Amino acid sequence: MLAKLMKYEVKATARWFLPLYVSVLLFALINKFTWYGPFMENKFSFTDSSINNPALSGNSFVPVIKGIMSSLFMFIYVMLFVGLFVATLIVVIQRYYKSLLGDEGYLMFTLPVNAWQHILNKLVISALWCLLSSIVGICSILILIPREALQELPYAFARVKEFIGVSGIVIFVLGAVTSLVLGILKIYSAISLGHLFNKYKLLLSFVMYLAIDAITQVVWMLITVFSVNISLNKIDFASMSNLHQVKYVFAALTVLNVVFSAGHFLLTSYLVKRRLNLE
Amino acid sequence: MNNILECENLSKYYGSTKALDSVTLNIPEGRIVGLLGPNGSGKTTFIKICNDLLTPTKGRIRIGGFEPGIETKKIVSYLPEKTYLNNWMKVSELINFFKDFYTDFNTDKAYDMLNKLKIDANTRLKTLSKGTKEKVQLILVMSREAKLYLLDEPIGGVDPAARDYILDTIIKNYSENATVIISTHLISDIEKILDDIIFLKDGQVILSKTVDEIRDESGKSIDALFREVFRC
Repeated sequence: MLAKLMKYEVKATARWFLPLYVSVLLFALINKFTWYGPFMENKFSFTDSSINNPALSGNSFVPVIKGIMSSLFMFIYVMLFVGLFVATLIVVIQRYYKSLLGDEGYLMFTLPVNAWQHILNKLVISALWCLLSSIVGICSILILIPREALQELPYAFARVKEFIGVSGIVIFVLGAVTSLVLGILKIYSAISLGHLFNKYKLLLSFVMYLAIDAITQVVWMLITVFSVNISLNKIDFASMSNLHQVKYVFAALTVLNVVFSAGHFLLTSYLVKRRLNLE
Repeated sequence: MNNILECENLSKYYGSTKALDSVTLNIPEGRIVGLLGPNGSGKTTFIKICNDLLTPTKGRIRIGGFEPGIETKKIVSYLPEKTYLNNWMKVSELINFFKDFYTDFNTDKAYDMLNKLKIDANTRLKTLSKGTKEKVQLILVMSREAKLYLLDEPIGGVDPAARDYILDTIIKNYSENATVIISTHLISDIEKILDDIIFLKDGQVILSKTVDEIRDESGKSIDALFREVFRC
């Protein structure tokens, strides 16, 4: 059943993301050929050739138009790039709020599926789109940067790997992924809590999010202070290298993310199963 | 005769308001039941509890022997008063959706009904009128071969001509031994198809009888009796 839910969730969301991804990558590609800026040395730019072309240099009109076009394309690309992340956030919120707690909830919650499966479905698909949006965003930058800089990348990766090691990469990736999962679940908790009220549900969801965030920070701080005290006795934190300290903190963050995520998942499941009252 | 739905002292409170107050009912298989009452009498609350969309404050309820949950959702076909269909799917995609999740869904029946109502399965929901959407929703719900159909105001939003067709659809398409519970306040329209009636008032059952019993005892139509019982 979870697989079927995911199939429909992907269908429902792909129609937003795929056109957006295509446009971001397309405009990155267009800009690669049209943009010339202080940090870009692009041999293919038609703007450059027109400036250097003596036949055209007398005519200042063409370069100006080309300059405007080039700036316009870059503006669109930047807008799309920002829009990519804003849209991802909006879809994460909207798919939970509308399709589970709105009128569509009447359909979803009368399917022979457990409440927790609905939440897990939304979570997994949302997290995947967040990751994919980030990858598309990075790819669009890679398209834009000059080839010479691109050639440095493998070297840069090798240096990073050499510095933090495979264990470091694993720890950082786990920390990032669990932070993403926790971030989404915090939104779900907040919306479910906001939905308990009869009025101003969205506004109160936002207030709930701030509250959850504040509580999370306080708990995180208390645990940090507490655990540093303990670990100072057991582990010689001070004698670690800086890198080790960072890895240690990231590992702790991952564990906490998992614990908090489990808490939010249980809370959301309970609220949706027991306290739900669709309008 | 087996009961498809049994509930005992079923209550739902919202703060101090009693939306449903100690409702005890036994509804057998193979009946068409009218759940009648004025606005705010607890009809929708009762149906929502049956569908596991609300948790009762007190009491117990069993549908086909199960508490509302996954097992009951497999055998209950529910038509809410809201339009719950998303706008971006085509009618044919919705049929696949229902087929995917409900093993008792009869695809042929659904297409048959769509043809009769001249609804093109390739149109997107977005382009359909509100009344047509309601018809699609009813077709989807009635195309399941469920044990219990819970229809909340199925004729509320459509014109009188379409009402007859819808009632016809309900009678013709519900599976044998299945029970249909129809909640409405438009009594005269559905009176002729009902076997049993339940009157709800302020969250309480004030009358639960067969239509024949009522006619024999009072000599009145359900509509006349309703007007008498709920006189303002």
